[in-house]
Amino acid sequence: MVNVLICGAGGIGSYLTEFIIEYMIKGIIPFSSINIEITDYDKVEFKNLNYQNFQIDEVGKYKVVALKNRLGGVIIKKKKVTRPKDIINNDLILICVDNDTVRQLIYETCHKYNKEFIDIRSQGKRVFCLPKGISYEEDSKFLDLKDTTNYSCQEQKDLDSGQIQFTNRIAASIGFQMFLNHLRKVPNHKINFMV
Amino acid sequence: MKQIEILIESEEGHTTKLVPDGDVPKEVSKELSNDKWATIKKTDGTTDVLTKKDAPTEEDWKTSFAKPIDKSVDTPSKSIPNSVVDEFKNKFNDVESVMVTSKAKGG
Repeated sequence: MVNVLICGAGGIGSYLTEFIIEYMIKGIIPFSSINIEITDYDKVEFKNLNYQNFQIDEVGKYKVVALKNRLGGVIIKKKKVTRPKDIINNDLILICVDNDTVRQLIYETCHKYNKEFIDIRSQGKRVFCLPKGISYEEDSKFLDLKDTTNYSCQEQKDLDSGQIQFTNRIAASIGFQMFLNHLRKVPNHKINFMV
Repeated sequence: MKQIEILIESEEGHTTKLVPDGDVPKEVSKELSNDKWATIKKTDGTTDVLTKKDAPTEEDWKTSFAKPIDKSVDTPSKSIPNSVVDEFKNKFNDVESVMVTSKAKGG
């Protein structure tokens, strides 16, 4: 039994959750093989509907509650990940967060406690997916430790002009394939591209 | 000389330029020092992603270019191999193309 934590239920995590649940319902991933937890502290806002996997009647609900009510099959946590304790009971962390502070905590904790992670990101027309590497030092070159900004998967100029990009769903799809590879013990490699 | 295509993300989308393969490491190093990421595709289909932390500094490059001159006058004890630049150049062996992008940080 693999204890999986999806960390973040925004533009990437909300789709990734649905992909995983769909494969569980279809029996492609046996229910008995994984536990899925999802953690996020935000509520669905109207502005999220253009590019996140939520519907208008879910506005105002916690994102994790909305996903559980619609998809079922997940254990939800309405909280932010702030300490190693929040993740060390999980075997695999699917990182779908919007900031390097939480990414750093997860990278460090996974290397220290021998847990696995797949970091799944998008921004504008770019996609980046990083499976845990050989060392924290090697993985941390993709972190800006002084940058505490939260980044949407959509660029602000695209949101302002209404030119919503699809790359968050592409990132979720690639992250999902990497997740399947991990379950099937197939090695993953880092991916970075722009469309 | 073999030319390598470097695709660079821009405000409008992207631009491309052809660079002699020997000049690719220096060209990519400049982009990395501007906080960009570079995805290198090798001829065997494998890829690697480089960041600023992989790139030699300007000082490393200067030392590297000065090496042949230094060698002729240095005593062995003063001769220091420029491993940072050499290690970086090695990452471009059998390079097919390079894509330079801004960082992706959103979720």
